[in-house]
Amino acid sequence: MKNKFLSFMILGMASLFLHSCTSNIELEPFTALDASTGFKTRQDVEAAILGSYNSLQNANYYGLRIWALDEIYSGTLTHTGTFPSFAQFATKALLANNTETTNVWNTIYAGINRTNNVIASAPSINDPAFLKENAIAEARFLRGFHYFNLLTHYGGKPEGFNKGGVGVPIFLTPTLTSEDAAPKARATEADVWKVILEDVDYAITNLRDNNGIGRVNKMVATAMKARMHLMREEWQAASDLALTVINSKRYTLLPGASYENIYLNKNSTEAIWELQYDINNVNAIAFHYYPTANGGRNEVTSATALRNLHEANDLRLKTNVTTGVPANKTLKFTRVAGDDNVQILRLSEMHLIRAEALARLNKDIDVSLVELNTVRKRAGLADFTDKTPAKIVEAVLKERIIEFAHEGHRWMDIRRTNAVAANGFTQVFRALWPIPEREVDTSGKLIAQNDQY
Amino acid sequence: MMKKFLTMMLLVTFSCVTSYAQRMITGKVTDASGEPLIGANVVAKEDANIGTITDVDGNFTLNVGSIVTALVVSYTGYNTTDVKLTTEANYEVKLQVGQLLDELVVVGYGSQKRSDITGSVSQINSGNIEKLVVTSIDQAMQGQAAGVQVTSASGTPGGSVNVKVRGNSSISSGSQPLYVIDGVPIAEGNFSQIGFGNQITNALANLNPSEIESMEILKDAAASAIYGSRAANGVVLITTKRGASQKTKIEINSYYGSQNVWKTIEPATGPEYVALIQEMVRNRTGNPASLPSSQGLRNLDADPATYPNTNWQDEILQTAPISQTDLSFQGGNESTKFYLSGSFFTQDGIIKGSGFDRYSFRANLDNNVNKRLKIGNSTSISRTKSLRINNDNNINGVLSAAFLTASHIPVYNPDGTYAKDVNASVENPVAAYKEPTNDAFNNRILSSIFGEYNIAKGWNFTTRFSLDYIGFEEFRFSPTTLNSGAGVNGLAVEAGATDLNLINENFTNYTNSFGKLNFDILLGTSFQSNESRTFFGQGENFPGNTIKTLNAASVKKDLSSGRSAYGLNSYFSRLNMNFDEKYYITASLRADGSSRFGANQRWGVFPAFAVSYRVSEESFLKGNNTISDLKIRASWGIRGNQDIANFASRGFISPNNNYLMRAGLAPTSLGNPNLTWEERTDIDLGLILGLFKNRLSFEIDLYEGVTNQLLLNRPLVGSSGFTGINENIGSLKNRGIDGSMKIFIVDNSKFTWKTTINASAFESEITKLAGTPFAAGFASWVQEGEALGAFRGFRAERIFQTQAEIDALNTTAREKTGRATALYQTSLTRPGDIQFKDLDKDGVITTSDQEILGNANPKVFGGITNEFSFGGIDFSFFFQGSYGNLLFNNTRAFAEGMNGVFGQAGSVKNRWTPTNPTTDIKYPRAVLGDPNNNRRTSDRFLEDGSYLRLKNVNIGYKIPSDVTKRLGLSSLRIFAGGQNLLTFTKYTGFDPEVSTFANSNTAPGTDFLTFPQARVVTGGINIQF
Repeated sequence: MKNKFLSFMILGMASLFLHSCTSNIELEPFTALDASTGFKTRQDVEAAILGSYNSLQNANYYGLRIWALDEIYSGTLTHTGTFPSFAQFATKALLANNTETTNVWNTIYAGINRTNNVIASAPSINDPAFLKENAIAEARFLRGFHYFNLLTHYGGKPEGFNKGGVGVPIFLTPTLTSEDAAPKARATEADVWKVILEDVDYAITNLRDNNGIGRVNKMVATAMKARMHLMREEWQAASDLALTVINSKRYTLLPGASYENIYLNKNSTEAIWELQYDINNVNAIAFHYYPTANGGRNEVTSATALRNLHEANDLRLKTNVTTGVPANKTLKFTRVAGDDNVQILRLSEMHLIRAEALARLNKDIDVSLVELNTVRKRAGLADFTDKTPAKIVEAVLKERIIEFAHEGHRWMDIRRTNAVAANGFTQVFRALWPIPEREVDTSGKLIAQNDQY
Repeated sequence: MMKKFLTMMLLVTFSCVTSYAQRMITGKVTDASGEPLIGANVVAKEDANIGTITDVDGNFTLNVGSIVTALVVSYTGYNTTDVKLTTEANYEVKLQVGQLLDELVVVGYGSQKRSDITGSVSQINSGNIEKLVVTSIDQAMQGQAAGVQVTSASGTPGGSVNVKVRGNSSISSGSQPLYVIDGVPIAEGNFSQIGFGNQITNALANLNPSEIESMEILKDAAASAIYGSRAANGVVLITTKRGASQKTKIEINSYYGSQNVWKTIEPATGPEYVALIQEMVRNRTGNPASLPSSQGLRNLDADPATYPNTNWQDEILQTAPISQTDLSFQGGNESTKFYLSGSFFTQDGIIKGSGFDRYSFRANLDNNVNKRLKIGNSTSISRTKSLRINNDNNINGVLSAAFLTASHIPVYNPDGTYAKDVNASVENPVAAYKEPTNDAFNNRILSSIFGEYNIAKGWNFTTRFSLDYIGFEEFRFSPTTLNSGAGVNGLAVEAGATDLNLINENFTNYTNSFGKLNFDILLGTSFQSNESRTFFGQGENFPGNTIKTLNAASVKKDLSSGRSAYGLNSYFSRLNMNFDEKYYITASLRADGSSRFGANQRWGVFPAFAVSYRVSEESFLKGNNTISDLKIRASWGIRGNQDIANFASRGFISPNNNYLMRAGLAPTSLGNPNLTWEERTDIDLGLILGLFKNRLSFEIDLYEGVTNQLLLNRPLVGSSGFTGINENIGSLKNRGIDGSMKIFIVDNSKFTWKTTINASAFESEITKLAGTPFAAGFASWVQEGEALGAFRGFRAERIFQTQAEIDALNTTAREKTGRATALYQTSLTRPGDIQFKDLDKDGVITTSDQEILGNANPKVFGGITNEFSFGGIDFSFFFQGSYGNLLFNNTRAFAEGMNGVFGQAGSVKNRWTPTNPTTDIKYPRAVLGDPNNNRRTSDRFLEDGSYLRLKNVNIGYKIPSDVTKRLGLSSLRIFAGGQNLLTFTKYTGFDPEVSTFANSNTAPGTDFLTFPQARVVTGGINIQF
């Protein structure tokens, strides 16, 4: 008995011991890849590109905040909810530690790191099935777009853009170690524009004409560059690129009576780039709009001012400001389950860019009016006929508020036209969002705070 | 009990080799009042192999042979007494309560006589636990042990409990002690994946406190470092009840209690609320004619007096039952002993919709295979059911909604549907408890088998195989009557988690003496392997609200599963040595290898060293009438904390970053191959003093614990693409004093009165952080040089009474900043708003005008227990309290916010108005949107959280044994008691014992719409056959 028991124990211990030593404490994660294995294959890098688009969908990005907060800041959305961080936008009193501006910053930069991983990994993939140039171009476009969004929120000058304002830190290589993550000082606005424009130009050259719904292609990059030139007040270039997109005949405006279908149905003929959501990959946009009785949280509501801006018989009113149930919301976001798509570029923007750019240039005023009236006609409105360039610009800017309600353009228009003070801001330094306080602190103040925050 | 068990083991093991001369004696062992002591040890003085245990009547029979001259009679909690044998055959032995020195105390991988202990160990016996009305074993420690701070996060039935042994030794890793039940380290924590707000489940609530024989809390490094990389937060050793060689004792213990809330907070009435909103709107627009509708607020324009009033607290609070019934069988013979028990506990919460049930069973068996080999098992099987409710920081929470829903909203609309405030997003509080289904079940098996082999005299080998299995299932259904179910036509979640720990421990110990030198050597190994799995499925769009299972969901989404694992390999040894039971040395060493740490840092070594000196054994004190016990001890040791995520050292590229219904990958964390355990180094100095034959005894410990290599998420600039990386960078220092005192004030055969007091104080200081300070919770702040648990915010200085005051400050702001648009606070600051203090004196209020406002750590905490017995009556009361801690009452930031549409407390009637120009900074003016941000994090919401609480009162009457005998019972006791009967506090919230961030290290002491503790009145009966 004694011997049997002892040998049993010794055997048991020995087997356990051996087993334990070899494997018990040497384990690999089950639910994620170890980062050191990197993006090494075509499949990895293709998944990394999809992961790059995924960052745009974040609730801190196009999944709500970046544009909805802009709309609150502009007064086109009313804050009817309870988030104190949203209230700071409504009261035009952003603090440097605002959760939302902090999260937006971190989310965009996480997106930049995703694109940098693709850009760094793709060149060494030698799989013949891999569309290398297109892959790099997709990632570079997204990176340029990320920096554009950063610059237009955290950079520039209170008076507008391309005027020698401040920029943001630039990271162009992936962060793989803690050393790579060392803080970098803010670049100038001009330096950031250089990165943005180089990326977008690379994309225009190297992107395919078509990468499928929801992904960027040559025409998306062209249209986005038109917007960028508008922001930079480079009117001729903006007009030219907008015309390229219009002349491609690839996109057509929906009839005014169907304006709501741009949103209620997905991927209309006028969508240039529409961020895709589905039931497995959702946003909380309608949830933030809809009242509690409809399963939402009533955080935001269409502003009364927005409704009042519509001319009589504007076919877009019922989409922009609902009257049915729920009232004062929008038909642009109706799926509380979260699978509404988000419009990033639509054809009507190209018409309005061209209209404004030509008026600013004070040339081809008739063409400018045609472009403006293309959008007005679709909305069921009478033509605008005043040929004074300043009046046309004024009309275009108003048209843009209505045409792009709930799409986040208004704040950019206020900023680029130096209209911050005219829109209820007693402190024009608030045109720039604060750099997140944690960013300034974590960098040991290497990353400078925006003026007066 | 443990001693009884061990003695039995020894007895049985050696019974075959004792002499054969026959001399039978009988006797009866009683306490001072003549009540029989069941299970007292009776052992021959000359030969420990000759002995027995008293039966249910206190009687014993023993064959003492020819050489025995005296018996040693002992019983836990009583003085051990020698009985000289005469020619008599029958002996009556009365034991006096008191002397604890010879009691056995369980230590890691063994047990020791109390007098031999060199470390700091607190012991809690079943007697202390049985009287309490507690759900879980961790709650049973509250106020009972010096240096152990126990705080229930809330009154949530079966909810989490925060246990801190000697301060908080970690910032971001686990801070709960290691729990070891019958030698098996077990899992604790929360296995739920569904969010309900802040309150979480507690896997320890599966274990029935009435099965516990004793709990030993190993506090210093000397006592606990034998548990190596898991010991930094202390170790709680739990010993469950076991069988004894006696006629089977059947015991039924049952109580029933009624719980209610001990305090409510007066809400503003419906008319008061509407008047407030109207005032808020006028103050916002500056136009006395403005109505709420001008600001998009609906249904608030009418005369306030015309609105109804609902007291939402009355709608959701209830008087609720709590009860527990235990049935146990304890018995055996000299070769096999058993303890079997079954228990049912059920509790409804004082907030409607909440509750907790537990079924638990235990079987502990011991068998002597032969004189050298003992085998046994300990098995516990339990299932709990939690009825969970949304809570705390959650607009669908029951109490949360009751606070946040305005009182002018009726419960129901005229058509019978739930009325909801169109202006707010908060759920109807009644719907919040009535409509959802939120069930969680935790199934737990804790089982081990062991064998102990006596190789030679004093040399034993023990091996144990153990399993700790947790199977957690949870289910949620939100029907369309709830906001959360309305938009998606019903929403259901089913989720589950399993956690399996397999443990093998093998150790050998050798005890011997050379003259006056006594020693005990331990050597052992331990292997633990853990695997956890989860699944989660969510579905939407149901055919009505009747079928609630996922099969009925027409849209199935968020389907996911997870898997993780860790392994821990350990080698340990310990040497206990003493000379003449005067000079003691203990040295221990453990090496742990953990899969959780970086490839470069997998193994750690944890040494500890202790000395003690029993001065009272010296000749100059021996026999001293005053000083009966005097011992000093000192220890040093290193302990680790490896309670971090299983793969925290790894950088991840994570899936599920999808687009276009195609799989996407994204880098989500940075790896650190050098990541290792946190290391706490402790120094402890202890003094034990017993006076007047130990009728008065003290134990005082001074300690300093420094935790280095704190695992912190070092913040990275977000522009790098990551916000942090796990590194071992921080340091934290805890310094404190623990003291306890026991007094037998009266101790005679008629009446005993015993008082036990413990008090503790500590200071914590963060000595090193990973760079910049960071915020936690709502108002908490982690900063070098400050205590962990500090609060930071603005200082509310005063209330502006006139516009001139504001203008003057704005003028100064312009002068100081040189900017023409500079403002002291905001452009909309008006009289009645709070003036915050310009701490940096730059003329404007910015985020840098914040400072440390205090911290959540008590200056002193402890407990006082008084126990009386008089004839058959026993009475005890137990006070527990905390002094000098601050609480951040975030509930008030909402209920007294006066900024928006949330329901308000009645106290807002104190607000500033031109006709009530109050200077109380708690009550500024009411203004929609709060443009001055009066609600910002400031000392406005910080309160003194000190409290003294009559935690437990228990009175029992033991029916005289002649009566019970006639009833065929061996014992019958009836008892009544209460929990939390009295609370003395200045805190204005529901309950001062609160933490909305459950077991957070960094944000303790914050209250936000948190489930309060109940006041409980109970009555019960204990029957023994």
